[in-house]
Amino acid sequence: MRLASTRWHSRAAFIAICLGLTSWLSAQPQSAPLFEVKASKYLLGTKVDFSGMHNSINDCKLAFYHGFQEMARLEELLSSQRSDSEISRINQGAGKHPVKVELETFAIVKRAIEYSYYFGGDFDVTIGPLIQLWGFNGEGEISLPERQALKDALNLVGFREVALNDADTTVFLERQGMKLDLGGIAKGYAIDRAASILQENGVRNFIINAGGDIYACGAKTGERKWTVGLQHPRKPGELLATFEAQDMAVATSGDYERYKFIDGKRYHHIIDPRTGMPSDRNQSVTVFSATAEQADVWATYLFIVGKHCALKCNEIDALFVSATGTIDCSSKLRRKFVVDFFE
Amino acid sequence: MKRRDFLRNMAAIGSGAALAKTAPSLLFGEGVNATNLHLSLLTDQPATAIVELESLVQRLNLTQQPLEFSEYRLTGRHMSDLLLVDGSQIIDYKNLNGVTPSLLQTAAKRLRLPRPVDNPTVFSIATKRPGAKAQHVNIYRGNTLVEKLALATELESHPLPGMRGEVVLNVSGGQASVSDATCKHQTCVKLGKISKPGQSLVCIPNQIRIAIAGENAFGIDTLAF
Repeated sequence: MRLASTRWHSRAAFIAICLGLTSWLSAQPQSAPLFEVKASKYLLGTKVDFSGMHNSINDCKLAFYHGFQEMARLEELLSSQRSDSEISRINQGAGKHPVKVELETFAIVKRAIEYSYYFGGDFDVTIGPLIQLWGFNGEGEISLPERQALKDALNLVGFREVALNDADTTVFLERQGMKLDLGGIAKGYAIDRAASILQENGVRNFIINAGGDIYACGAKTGERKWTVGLQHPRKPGELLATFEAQDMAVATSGDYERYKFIDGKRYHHIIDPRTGMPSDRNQSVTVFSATAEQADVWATYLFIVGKHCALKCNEIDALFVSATGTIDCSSKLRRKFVVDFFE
Repeated sequence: MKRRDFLRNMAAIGSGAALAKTAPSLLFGEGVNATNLHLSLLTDQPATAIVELESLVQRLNLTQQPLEFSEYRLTGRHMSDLLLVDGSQIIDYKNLNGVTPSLLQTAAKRLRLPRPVDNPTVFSIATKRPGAKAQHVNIYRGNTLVEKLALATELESHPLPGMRGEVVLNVSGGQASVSDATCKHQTCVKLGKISKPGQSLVCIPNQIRIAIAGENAFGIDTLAF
């Protein structure tokens, strides 16, 4: 009797354990799927692509929505193409009066001026009159400017004649006709802001591509970093190289996107602020950096001055394709990134 | 759009799967092959549909590898429905028994599928399909799919209405190119011909994107330029 009771208790205990285990197992969530969510919008005068890895499509989409909203907000603030932007208001007040702007606008203009000083005028945020003269902005035709018109526009370029007042966040362009153009910095800044917004909204692994400028955050999966292809500057549809990217920005300045052939010569949109002419030292320069803003500015600067003229070349990782097509990148760059070149 | 057309079109748009033009063969199996799978949903209830799709993916136990999610809009009246392509075969959830068809039936019931809807959204969840052949050119205006063409088509000076004017498309010899566009920089014209999956020609001012359907041929996640 005692033996039977013990056996019964053992069986009951076994069944109870089995039942408990079954219900515990059924209560455990299955491992969540990982989605690569993609979305695109036309912003900042280009196509912006977000690609993020997340367990929840809706959470990722919501983060993307906020990221796109942020970029749209910055476009309204910083675009010189929009007559109602703060940058356009500054330009409209040139030679007349200081213009009070939001702290954020003031800060980016101030940084752009600091970059202009740092690069000794080879990058100049007051390049607006030259860009307008060439017709690379707005609706006008791209055309080779008359010599006198070029001289007049060059005369209006000068970052030293921008008065910034920290106390009341006003910006004053001292001569009438001067124009700020944040083309070499604003897109990078917008990418950085969008990257922050995505992270704040719980997306930690993503890649942002705004018209070819990129910020890669985290990794695609546990085993794989983001893989970026670099467009060949002279072979449309073909790659020059591929590399892996993680927590870094990549920006390229090239002569192959916005250009026009006039009398058999290529005239592109990256204007040397010293000569007023498109810089012809490189086909493309790609910069690898911690922030997209920095990469954007450096790519513009290095494209204009070229590797051999750049005094500050060693401070940054860059890949040059010279005017003759020679590829050159620092050994530091080769050590840091797995860069595979195509033949 | 009839249900059968939806099935054929969705399979072709998203996966580039080698589906015959005639009625596709149907799968009777129990499980799905998690390495080559494409789930499409055409719906007018996007928020609910995404939750349902996520739940379905989890129940189908498709958690072994990352899944690509994408979406776009369609204009006009279409038949909303759910489609699962396993390899190159469609799982006909309406006429089959088993675990997978049953899960699809439940999702379809919750989303009241199939039924005619206006201006729906198409959601697509797919595994990577390296080496997919370039078969179709998808044309988007903004985020709306406006046209789908076979890459084998011979097409000359085909106008695509854009936001500011038009983009003129040519398809010949398995390659797509833009010969003219109502825009200043003509970047899409200068980009030349595309023929590989994942390649695209974009006219920013017109917000027209001409994309070869399928996985990026170079195996990259994005392109710096």
